[in-house]
Amino acid sequence: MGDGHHKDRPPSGLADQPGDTIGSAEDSGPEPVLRVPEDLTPLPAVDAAMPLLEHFATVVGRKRARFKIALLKTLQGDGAGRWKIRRLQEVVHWLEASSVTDIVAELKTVDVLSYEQITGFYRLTPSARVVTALLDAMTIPEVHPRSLIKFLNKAMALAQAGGAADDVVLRQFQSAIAVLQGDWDDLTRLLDDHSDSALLEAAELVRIHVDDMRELLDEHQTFFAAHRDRGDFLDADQKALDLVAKLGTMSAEVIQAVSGRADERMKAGLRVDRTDIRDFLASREADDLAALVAGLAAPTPFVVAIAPAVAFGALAEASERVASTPPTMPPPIVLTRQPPESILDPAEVMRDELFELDEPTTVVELTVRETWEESIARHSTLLDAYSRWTELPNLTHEPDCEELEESEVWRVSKTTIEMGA
Amino acid sequence: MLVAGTLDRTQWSELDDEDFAGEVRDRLATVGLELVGASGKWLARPEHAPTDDTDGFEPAFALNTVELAVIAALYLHLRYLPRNADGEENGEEPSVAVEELLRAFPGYSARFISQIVVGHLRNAGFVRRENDRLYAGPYLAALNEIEADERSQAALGNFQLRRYLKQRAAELEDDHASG
Repeated sequence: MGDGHHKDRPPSGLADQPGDTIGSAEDSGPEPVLRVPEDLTPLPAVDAAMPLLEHFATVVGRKRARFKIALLKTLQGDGAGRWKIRRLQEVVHWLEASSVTDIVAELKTVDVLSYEQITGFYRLTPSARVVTALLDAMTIPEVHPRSLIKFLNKAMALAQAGGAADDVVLRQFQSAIAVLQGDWDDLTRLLDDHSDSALLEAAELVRIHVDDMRELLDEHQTFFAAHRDRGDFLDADQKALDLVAKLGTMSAEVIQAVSGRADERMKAGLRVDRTDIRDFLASREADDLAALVAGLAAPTPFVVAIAPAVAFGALAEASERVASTPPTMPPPIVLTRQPPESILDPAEVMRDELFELDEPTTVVELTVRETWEESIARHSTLLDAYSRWTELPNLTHEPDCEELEESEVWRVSKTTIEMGA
Repeated sequence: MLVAGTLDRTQWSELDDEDFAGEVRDRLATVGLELVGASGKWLARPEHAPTDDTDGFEPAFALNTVELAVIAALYLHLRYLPRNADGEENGEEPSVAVEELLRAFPGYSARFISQIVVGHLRNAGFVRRENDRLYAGPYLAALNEIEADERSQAALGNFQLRRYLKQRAAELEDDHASG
């Protein structure tokens, strides 16, 4: 296998058409390499069908494709089987006559339209009629998932009508089975989703597919019966029947359940017990559970709850407390008046001391005592006395000072006190 | 008293008097509270649960998501189940084991749920704990049961329905695999 198996000739049609938009995309890449002999691939069947398939490419894959398809659709709807150019221009009334002529010439070149030289008539070739019919059928915005199995059913019928190989029909049938298998996967996956609408929508689609598959099996009953000897046909047939059975049941139950038309058996299963609550709680996240009481569970207005008994006890204790009061006033009594204590005026005492001096005395002798405070007090009193009274002994000031040794006073100006004559 | 705790209904017969209760209601309403009688208690609660998106308002005591989830679990066990399940009414006050509650929160530590969250809710009057069992507190009983039951019923119904359908899908798979 390693050396690969190349096609020894380029594929006809798509790849060798200049300006072909489909073929040009393939031409731009390297030549595909086969891993198995070509006989074991679908390529020989494709090659054999290429003359017919080319018609699709020549119509769809080239410039002005939309005009060509529209023109062919218009011709298909016209009852005549052949047209002269003037008639063609009348039938294709929505296009300028010169444009009709151009497009017709182009279609004639690629054998979609044949031209009879003698009569001057144009005809759709048999292949072109098939291509046109298919293109007409496919002129829809998109293939809706609802129609998928129905399309495949008709493709199987077309293949059989065209004389395609049995394997072609089997592959189309397997494609339809794959659609049902995908439906089963989607439906069971959506059971874990919380969206009822998505689940219901999927079940409705499944029901349509199941009905279409039943129709397919009915329409091709003869074909399948004719191939009972082939294991692959039997396997596919059995798988399709299994899927139809379980998807039919499942989609019906889902639709009944979700749309509220659950039967009694299902309703009976919806009674709640502690196990249900337990399983439900275990299957939910905290956010989902919180949503059940969001906006309903209001917090208390207090931070810490106080037990009423405790509160009343505290109230009773507070109620029994006696407020403190001031002591009672004593009874009134008559006060005894007492004369104020007599305090001697130091200046007068000093004056008396001065008058009692019988010999000359210095200020140091009169005032200085052992301590500084006492000495200063007596000295100040002396000055006070002399400032008050005039008839006191004379003071004689001398220039020098007296220095003392046994007192806290260091020295004092020398002044002598003596009585006058 | 009502803004500091709950009052026993048997001890506060005055609040059964409509005039007296009306005056209390008016006074509570002036500070955004309402008077509620639940589970043998009188209690005051905010008229509207504070929300995080209230502009400029940060409630001092708000319930976080886990606390709300635990309240929901307690509500289902202690309030919803006794009313909606056959054979759950046995005359005893509904209760749930702490271990049972912990099963609902496998992603959280047991200590966080049983001590911190439940302790907080116990202080807030939502649950009462006696030994290892939890009982509904007055604030749990005061939940709007109509609204809470509707939400619970919808959620439980959806859960049971999908569990039933998944079971049926498994049965159908088995049937067709074996057949």
